[in-house]
Amino acid sequence: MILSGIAMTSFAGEGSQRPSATIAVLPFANYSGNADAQQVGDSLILRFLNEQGWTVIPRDSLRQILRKHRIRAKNGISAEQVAVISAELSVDCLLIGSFDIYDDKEIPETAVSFRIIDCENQRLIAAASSAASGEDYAGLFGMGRITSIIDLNRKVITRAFADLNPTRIMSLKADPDILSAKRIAVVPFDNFSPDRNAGDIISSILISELIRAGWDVILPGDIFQLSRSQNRVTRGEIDLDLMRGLAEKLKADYVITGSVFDFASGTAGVDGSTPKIELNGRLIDSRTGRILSIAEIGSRGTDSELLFRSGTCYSLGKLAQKNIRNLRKKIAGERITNFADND
Amino acid sequence: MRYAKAIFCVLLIMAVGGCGVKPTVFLHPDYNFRFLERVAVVPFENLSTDQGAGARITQVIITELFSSRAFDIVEPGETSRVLESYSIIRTSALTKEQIISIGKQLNVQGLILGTVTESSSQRSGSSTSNTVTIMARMIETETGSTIWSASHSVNGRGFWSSIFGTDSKSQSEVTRKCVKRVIGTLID
Repeated sequence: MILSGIAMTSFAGEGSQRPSATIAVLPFANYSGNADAQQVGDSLILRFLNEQGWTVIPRDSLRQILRKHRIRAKNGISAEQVAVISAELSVDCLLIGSFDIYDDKEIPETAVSFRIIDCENQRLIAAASSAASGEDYAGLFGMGRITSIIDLNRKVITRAFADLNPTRIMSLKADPDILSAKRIAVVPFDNFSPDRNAGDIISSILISELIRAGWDVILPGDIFQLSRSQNRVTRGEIDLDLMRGLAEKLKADYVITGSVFDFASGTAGVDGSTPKIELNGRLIDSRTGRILSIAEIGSRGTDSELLFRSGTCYSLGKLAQKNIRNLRKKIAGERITNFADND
Repeated sequence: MRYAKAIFCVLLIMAVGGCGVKPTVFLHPDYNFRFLERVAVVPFENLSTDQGAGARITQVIITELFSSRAFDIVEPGETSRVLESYSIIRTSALTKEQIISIGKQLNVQGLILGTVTESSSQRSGSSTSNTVTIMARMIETETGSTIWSASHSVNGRGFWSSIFGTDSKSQSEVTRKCVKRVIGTLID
């Protein structure tokens, strides 16, 4: 929302004088269970960043810094670690993310989520999630159906990185809306579904969704470090001690957590099934520990079917994004300035 | 015409009969339920073979209770933290003293406990039939006495799906239906 509201400016005419913005790409978390996702995705991402005009920090330099400071976190880097990397590499932004789905079946399916961290303020300033199934492109008589995962992955990553030009991102660093936004912590979702990474995937998509909706989302690594300092691994629930820590140390106004009950891909094609998702989430006031809102969301790909399978959602990642957006709207709405009014 | 009427009546009776039995309920006759402002849900014990059914159903119960807006619900993480301090293995075996003490720590008037006795899926031919059975009770934390209890079982294979072989309800749909009915006996 904030992203779309920002006027686009251009470097045209001054691009030669101004040094381009620098970005370091941290290794993405791979929740897909397929090692190819990392290999294929990494090279595509680097290519897109270069095309967008970013100066990308060489991977070897970044790897040395990560090794030197023992930074292992992929999707969950902390503010302290961001500051260390920033000081060592003099970088403007960090790109973190995850390959959520990379299913190389007859009709492939992929999903990717990413976030950009402003190194100066150690804040998440932009995010996107993109997903598709080869079936989404079937069109008339299935002629456009994509059966190659490489082609599909290229389309998904192109879409995800479409708005990632340095001008736009650098303007977000000083955006007063972002700097004054309410802070929210996403405690990783608990998972009761057969997909062992469903909790992480849903948490990752939710973080992207909240950033898009204008919230100041606390870096997941900070939450992880705080809960580790209290000798616990928190998922799907949160006690008052940790809540207090989030409110006092990380200045969180609200906390979101929940559980994933169902997260299953479908099998596309004429006789295929469609994906299904079921989850719940709740918004908690971090200062009082009071649950402010709670919602249970669930849908199948066929829920949006109109006629002869048109309108059916075949992509689990897309269905997840849709459900997460509904969840966010139900429990957190748009940015909350005074939740007491809404309660 | 007479036959048509008879067939319609038979189908109607079967359809109504297919809606299943009502939950078995106990409500303390002397307890004023308006006294309840804040309650905590203790993780349900799982006696079924479905791993995680207890935690899953606990979450659904919390959502259902909160949605009813009948009372405030303690954040489950806080409930777990307090229970951990008692090193309790079986939540159904809480003593009266423990219940009173937990009630004070969580500042609640009631504790909801329960057991999942069945959470299963049975395949028959090409269709799957899901069943969930839960028993829940609420204990008043001042005296430790049970003020509400209910048990219910829901099978996802309804009347119409049995007759026409249509798809039966998923495990999560059955769970939610069962929980709704059980909680309905407390909230209504």
